[in-house]
Amino acid sequence: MNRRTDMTLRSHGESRREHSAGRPSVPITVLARTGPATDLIRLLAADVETSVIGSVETIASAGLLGLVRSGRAHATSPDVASHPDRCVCCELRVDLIDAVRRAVLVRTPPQRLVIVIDQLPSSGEDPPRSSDEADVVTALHTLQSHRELERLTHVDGLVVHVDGRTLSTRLTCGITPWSGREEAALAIADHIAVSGADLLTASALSRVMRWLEGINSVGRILRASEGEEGRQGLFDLRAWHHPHAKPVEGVPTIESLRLRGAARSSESSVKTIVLRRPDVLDADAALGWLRDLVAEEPCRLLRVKASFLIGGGERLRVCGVRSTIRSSAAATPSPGRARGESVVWLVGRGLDPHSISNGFESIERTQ
Amino acid sequence: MTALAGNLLTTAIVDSATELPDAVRLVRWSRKGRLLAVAADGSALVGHGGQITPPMTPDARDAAWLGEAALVIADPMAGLVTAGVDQLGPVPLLGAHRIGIHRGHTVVAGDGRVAVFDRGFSSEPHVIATGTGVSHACTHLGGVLWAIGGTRGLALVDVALGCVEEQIEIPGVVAMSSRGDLGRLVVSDLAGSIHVVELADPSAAVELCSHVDPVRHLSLSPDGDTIVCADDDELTMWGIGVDGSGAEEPLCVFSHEGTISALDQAENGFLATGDDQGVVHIWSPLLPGYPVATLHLEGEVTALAWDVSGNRLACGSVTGQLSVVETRAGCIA
Repeated sequence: MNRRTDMTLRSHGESRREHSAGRPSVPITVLARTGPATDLIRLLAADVETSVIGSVETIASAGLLGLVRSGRAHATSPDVASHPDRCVCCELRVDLIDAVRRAVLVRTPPQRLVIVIDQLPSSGEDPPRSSDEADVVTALHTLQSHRELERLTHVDGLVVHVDGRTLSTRLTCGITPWSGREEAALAIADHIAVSGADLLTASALSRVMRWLEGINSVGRILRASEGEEGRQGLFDLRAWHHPHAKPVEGVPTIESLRLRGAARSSESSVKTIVLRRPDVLDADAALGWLRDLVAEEPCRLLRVKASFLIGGGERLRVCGVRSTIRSSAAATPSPGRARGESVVWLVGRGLDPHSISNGFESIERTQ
Repeated sequence: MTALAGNLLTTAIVDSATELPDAVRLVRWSRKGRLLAVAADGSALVGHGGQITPPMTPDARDAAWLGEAALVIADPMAGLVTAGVDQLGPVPLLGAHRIGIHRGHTVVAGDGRVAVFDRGFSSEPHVIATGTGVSHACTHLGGVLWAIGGTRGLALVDVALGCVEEQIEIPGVVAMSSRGDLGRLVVSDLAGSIHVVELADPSAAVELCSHVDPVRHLSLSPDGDTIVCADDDELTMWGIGVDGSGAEEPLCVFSHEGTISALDQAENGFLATGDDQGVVHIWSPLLPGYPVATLHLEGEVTALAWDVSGNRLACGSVTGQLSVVETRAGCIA
């Protein structure tokens, strides 16, 4: 096989991130539903400048079939490809690539795209291995790793819908609320919308919220609300892009997470690892460590966010899904924050917190 | 030398310009030079200066002329939408993605199968299971042999016998181009690789090169010796040896400032590329390093198609602008 060095030098991380001339990048909201969630879909699609992508069943059940004819809804069904064949970390939803292109490459592009992912019930605790599954991580990975989509769109956030009554009942009965894909989706969400919260007692709701906060330490967890206010609350999320979307004080440490993870479930369950260092780190070394980690754990790692404190009053921000990471350097918001710390959030299955922590501690300081 | 100098003096003059109601999604020429342009809203322009039809289909994926007076559009939801044939309503063929015509056979590639219609759509099609998943590319290789590329691989299908002649493990096929008369097929996949398949020994496909991203725009030159592919802002031309192996050093050209969004090569070797800034470059086969003519459209170029003669180029943009350009190589007195 002939390889061209001049082309391979331009890696995914350094790809040109230009958008079509004169056409703004369209924000995408990914909605993962664990139940019908028709109200939420209708709420998101209420704006005439919003287009919806989903399965025919999703569009039909939300009463939005009429939007297909007017070009505001695009039916698709999971078409998953991977390279090499059957490699989970390289899986892409090819149908989403086509659907997003068709939705955006029109004379008047939509102001927002909503992609509805149906979370099919999983049968066991094992992570998904089949290419036929339409899991949220694959969808998110597709949207953030494909350059054509990156040119036309950007992911604004992942909203995961949870039926509060179902979750409360399961927690009360001692049943594992969800496993596999659902747990992964909850752990990497930018926003968890809990419906049916009004029907729960204060203590039951508090228990539900605590359980969700234990799974997701980055995104927002709020009751699903209606009307324009509720709709706007689902936009401009980007919790996994901002370095401090949540107060750092609220983030559990690596030790507490290790204990909680051990107490809660087996090795296959999803864990969040948060690492901190007060040092000013060497940017190349920090990025190199993260890239090595992604290369070593592509099937286990689901979502990554990092904010490295580097020299010159700057931070190196990194966000990624599975095997794709993006980095950008930015000045710290205020001189006071520059003396802060480097923070890394990692969500994955079967991650070894100690080896990851050791690797993080071994990153060289800036000279 | 005279021919090269002539090509340097190539002119490209806009012959006609039309505005479609939405972005131009597909452009197809008939053998005798009739134009079909389908917009994103499903409306279509048929023939020069012809009427623009109301929306024919909600999600046009591919289209083809059936002779000079009839056409067919493939839509995964609606099936096959026809015009000019004795057919009431769409032919229900769910999942139809790609369509090809050859000697009266209409080959429709869908979800893991191929439907073959003989002489019209009145009778039931002959359906062949390909095992390639959703079809993303379909090309005629010559005679009764077709190549179908899909999510799960590449299949060479004999439509006369109704069977898959060869299955090749190239998952995630993105685009294909063939010169059946020369027995050569090139395929790009999701990993960014380009594979050269010699039909004499299809199982011995050569992986020619590895791009960072999938190559959506791919063409094989009329003499079958050069692969032209576009990736981001870069146009790459690979020479191929008789055994299908690639040249060590391809020619890389960076003439587009934007991302290349459309590409088509004429039977006479002229090439057209368009980018997301509305720039269309025309390239001569004798002068591959520099464009010989340049045009500007409003908005991203979404479709390019040469007619059979290679003298007329149809260019469509995301704004609905559709221009037909007359190109002429210059002459040295």
